[in-house]
Amino acid sequence: MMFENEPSECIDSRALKSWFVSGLLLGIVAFSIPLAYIFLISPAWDLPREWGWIGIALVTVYTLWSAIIAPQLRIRFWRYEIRENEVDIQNGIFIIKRTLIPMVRIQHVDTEHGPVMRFFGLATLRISTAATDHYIPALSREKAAELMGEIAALAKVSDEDV
Amino acid sequence: MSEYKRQHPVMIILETFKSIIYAIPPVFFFALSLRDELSSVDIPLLAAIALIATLTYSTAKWYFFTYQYENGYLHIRKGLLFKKERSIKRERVQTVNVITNFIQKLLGVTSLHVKTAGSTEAELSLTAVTLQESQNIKTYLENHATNESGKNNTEESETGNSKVDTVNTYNVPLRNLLLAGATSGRFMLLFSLIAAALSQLYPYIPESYMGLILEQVIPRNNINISLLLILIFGLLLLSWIISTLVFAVQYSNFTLQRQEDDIRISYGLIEQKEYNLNMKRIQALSVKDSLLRQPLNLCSIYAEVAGGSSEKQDYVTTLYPLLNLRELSRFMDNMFPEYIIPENMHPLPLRSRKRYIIRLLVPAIVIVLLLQLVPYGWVSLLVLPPTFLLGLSRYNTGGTAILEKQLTLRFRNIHRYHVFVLRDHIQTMQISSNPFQRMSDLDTIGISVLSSRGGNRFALADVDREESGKIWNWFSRN
Repeated sequence: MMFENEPSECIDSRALKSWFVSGLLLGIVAFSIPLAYIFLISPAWDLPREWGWIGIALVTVYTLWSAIIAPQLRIRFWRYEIRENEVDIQNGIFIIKRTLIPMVRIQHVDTEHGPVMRFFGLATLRISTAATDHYIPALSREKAAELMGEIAALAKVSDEDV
Repeated sequence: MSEYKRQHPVMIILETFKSIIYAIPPVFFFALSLRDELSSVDIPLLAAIALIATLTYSTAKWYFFTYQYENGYLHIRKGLLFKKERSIKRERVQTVNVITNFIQKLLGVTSLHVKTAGSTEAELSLTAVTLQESQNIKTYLENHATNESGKNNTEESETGNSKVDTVNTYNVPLRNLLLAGATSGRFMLLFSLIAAALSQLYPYIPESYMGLILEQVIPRNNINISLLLILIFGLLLLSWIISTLVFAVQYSNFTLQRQEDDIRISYGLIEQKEYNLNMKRIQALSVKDSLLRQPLNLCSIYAEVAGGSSEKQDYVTTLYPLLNLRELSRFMDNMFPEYIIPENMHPLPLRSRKRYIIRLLVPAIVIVLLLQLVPYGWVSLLVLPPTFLLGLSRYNTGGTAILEKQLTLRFRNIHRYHVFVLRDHIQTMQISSNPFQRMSDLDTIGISVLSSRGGNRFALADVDREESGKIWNWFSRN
């Protein structure tokens, strides 16, 4: 990845908060499974209660990872750059991926946002080619709309060239 | 103004036949469940009534199905109660496939499937037209394409856009077809099918018969394992012979023809198939040397084809089932000069060798160790040397090459592949690296191309960073 300078733009720092909240929400939902086991299933069928504690430990570790550690690592490597003829994306936590999408190949661009992202004023930009889909997550909503327009315009121009 | 035409009257027979075939399974189960009540019914009478009803229905179907081609359109009208009308503009037609099955061949007719871009099933099908008529329709629909290329010809003569201006034809000789069938590896599939079928049928064989057979094969008190092995070996040999013959019949008279940018593939003895595709739709070409064929220096050629997926898309992507490696470069020059076989491939660096071996060997060792817990687990140790060799061979096979507008990847999973892609056909490129790869300056390089399945990705692991950077810059347009 280091053979060429990284793409220039970072994603919005509010991404951390958004990932934290969605990780936490998921963790809370996941907690209900071992809790239900300890208080409902294990007394009813006389199963060892310790398994439930193991479950709680696992869920805790997972929640810590997905709400706090992973977002930190993820945002560290997330970069993108939109150039005249291509979109350059870098992402990953351990395996760092760098993707190059030529403008001529882009078929459509969308923005999407779920409830948590909406709360923080963020949106995900989705770039689709005929064969693949690519995401730039957690951009500010204005930025996402702006990029969508920019890419659509560039993709159109190059479309006429072909 | 041409009149609306009907198809050949043998369509009535074909339709009747089709309805009967489709009716067999439900009728069979219905009869089975009503076994007792059926004895009081006059079965021949019932069958006769059903046959007449089917015949009448098929006749109506034939009578109300009319078609016409003129003014650049192909129109059809059909339906007895619910009328349907459809017209397809000639310009929108992507492929016209002519498929003839055994019965159609006997009756001297053929079916024609017209497809437009983006549709998954045939937009429009005629099931019984004479060979002559099918050729007429086909020429009529494809005339547009030739007109267009005719217009472009003025430019092409300057730029030399179409690289093949003569008609080139390749034919697979019977000897090669048999060889291809023998090395296709399908016999393993057939063998497992036979074994599965036998195990399913086993409970239905009366015990007395089974005992009799067993006593013949395996004498009492003398269970002979070599006899069992011979039995298995015989079954393997049988399925190998059958699969070879099936392959040879299925692909018999395989012909690949290229005229300008149009490629025509036709094959089949019992069921004849013909596919047409334009060079523009070919997104990537791959040469596969399967494990069984590589020692014999044989390869087969496949294409990734964009859009217009047909039901038997897998077969469309087979461009040529068997070719000797020595003839490959001449074949490519004649048929696909857009693609060049690079003389030298850039090999993987020495430091990726251990990674290739470890990647395969470590999981294998873990599995082997776990298998030590079961009886006869030590047999699994035999797997380790081939695994090691496969890893080594994967490393040795891996290679890349850039030639002007073309990227070539060479890699092995089980079989060895050469994949040729033009820069303009690569949808996206991805270069990735895990921490271990980063420590030794290696990358995994992957490209996505469009194929009839949606998209397909080709990747090569542990490429030297210098080389992956070169490929990246070659693909980048800035």
